Amino acid sequence: MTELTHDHGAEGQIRSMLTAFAGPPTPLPLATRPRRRATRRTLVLLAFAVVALFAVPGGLALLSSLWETPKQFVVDHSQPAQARRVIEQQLGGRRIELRAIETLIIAPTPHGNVYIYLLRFRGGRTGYFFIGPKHELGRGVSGVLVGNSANGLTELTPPCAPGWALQYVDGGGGDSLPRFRSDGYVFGRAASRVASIHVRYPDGSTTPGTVDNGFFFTSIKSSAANTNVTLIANNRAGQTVARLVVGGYGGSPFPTNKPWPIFICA
Amino acid sequence: MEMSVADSVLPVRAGSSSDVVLAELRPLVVRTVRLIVGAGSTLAEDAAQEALLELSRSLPRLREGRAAPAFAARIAARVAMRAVKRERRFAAIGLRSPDSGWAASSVQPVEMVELKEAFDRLPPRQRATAVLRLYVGLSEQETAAALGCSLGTVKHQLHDARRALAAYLNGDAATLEETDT
Repeated sequence: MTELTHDHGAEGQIRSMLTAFAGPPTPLPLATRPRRRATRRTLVLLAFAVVALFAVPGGLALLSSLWETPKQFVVDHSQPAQARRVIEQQLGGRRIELRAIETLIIAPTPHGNVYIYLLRFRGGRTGYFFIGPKHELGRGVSGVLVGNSANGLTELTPPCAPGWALQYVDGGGGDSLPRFRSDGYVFGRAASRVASIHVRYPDGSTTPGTVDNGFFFTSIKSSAANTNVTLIANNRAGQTVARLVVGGYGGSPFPTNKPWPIFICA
Repeated sequence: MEMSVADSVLPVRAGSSSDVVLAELRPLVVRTVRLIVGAGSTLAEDAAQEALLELSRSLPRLREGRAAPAFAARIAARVAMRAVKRERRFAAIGLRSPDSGWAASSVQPVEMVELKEAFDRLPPRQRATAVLRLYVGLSEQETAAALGCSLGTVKHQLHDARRALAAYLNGDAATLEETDT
C-alpha cells in the first residue's frame, strides 16, 4: 500500500508524480486520437429534443416504451413503488437472470392504473408481470411475476393465423363469491390495425380497454363474473375488426365444460 | 531548492516574438492543462490545444516577461477547469471522452500509479491548486490569483488534497468523492 506522509515529503511525492505523468510538451496530434466533440448547435438541438420529449404527451409515451435495466428500473421513481419492489426482490434473489424491463401498457381502470411490464431474461426468454390497484382488480394481479421458460410470453403467444387482430394471453379475477369479488381482466396481444378495444356486457353496456405497444388490457366489471362478455376490437375508422368472447372472470367462456384452446386468436 | 517548471521557462526575453514566447510557454501550458483535466484523456489534449490558442490571443496583453509563466498558468488553469465542467455536462448525458492512448512513457512504480489514480479522483479545484503550486511552482499568491480565490482557500485546498490523497492511499476511497464545483 502506498503511503503519503503529511509533511514536505508528501509534496515531494506529489510533485514527482505530476512530473512523471505530465506527458509530452505538445498536445497529441489529432490523427492519434478519436474525436468526440459536439458542436454548440448539437447541444442546443439535443436540449430542444429533451424538452420536447417531456413536453409532448407522445414523448412520454415514447419514453414509457423504452427498455430499462433492472437497476435503472429500481431507481426509476416514475414507476410504481410496488413494481420496483418486485424487481428489487428479483435482483436480490438472483433466481432468474432478468436483463431488462419494458413498460407495455399503463391501463386506466375504475380502481386506478394497471401497469403491465414485459420482462427480458438472459437467453432470450421473455415474461410479463402486472401491477394493479391492490385488492381491487383480480386479487392475483398485484405483483404476479412470470419469468421462466415454461410460461414466458414468447412461449405463450405463438403466431396466430394471418388476419388475426386479438390474441388472448392471460386473464383472471372476477371471483363469484361476494367476499372475494373483484373485477376481472384480460390481457393479450393486439395487431397493429387494432386502435381501440372495449368490453360489451350482456345488458348492452360497454367499458373501454387500453391498446398500446401491440398489447391490450381490459378490466371486466365484477358483476359480470358469472356471464360471458365480448371483447370488441376496432380499427382507426371505428370498424370492428375482431370479437372475442370470454368468461366475465377473464377466462374461458361459459359453459366452461367445453375445452378452450390454450392459444386463442380472433 | 527544487527548480520549478515556471523557473525553467524564465525569463521570457524582452522583445521576443509571440511565436518564440508561445514556444517557450507551450510545455508549461500543455502539461498544466493535462494534469488538471486528467492525463490520458482526449479531453485533456483538446483542452491543451484550446489553452494554447487562448494564450496566443492573450499574449499581446502580457507586459512583463517575468510574469509570463504565471500568466500562462492562469490561462491554462482557467481553460482546464472549463473543460472539466464541460466534461461533466457530457457525462450527465452519457458521453465520455475516449482515452487518448497516451500513457507515461516509462514504466512507473506501482506507488506512483496509485498516487496518480488518487490524484485524478480529487475535486478539480484541488487538482488545479496542487498542479499550480507543486508542478508549475507558482507562489500561493500567484496560485490564488490564477484560480480567482483567496490565499486561505489555496492553503485549504492544498491541505485537503494532501489529506484526501493520504486517506485514499490508506484505503478510504470515500474521502475522494468530488465535492466542489
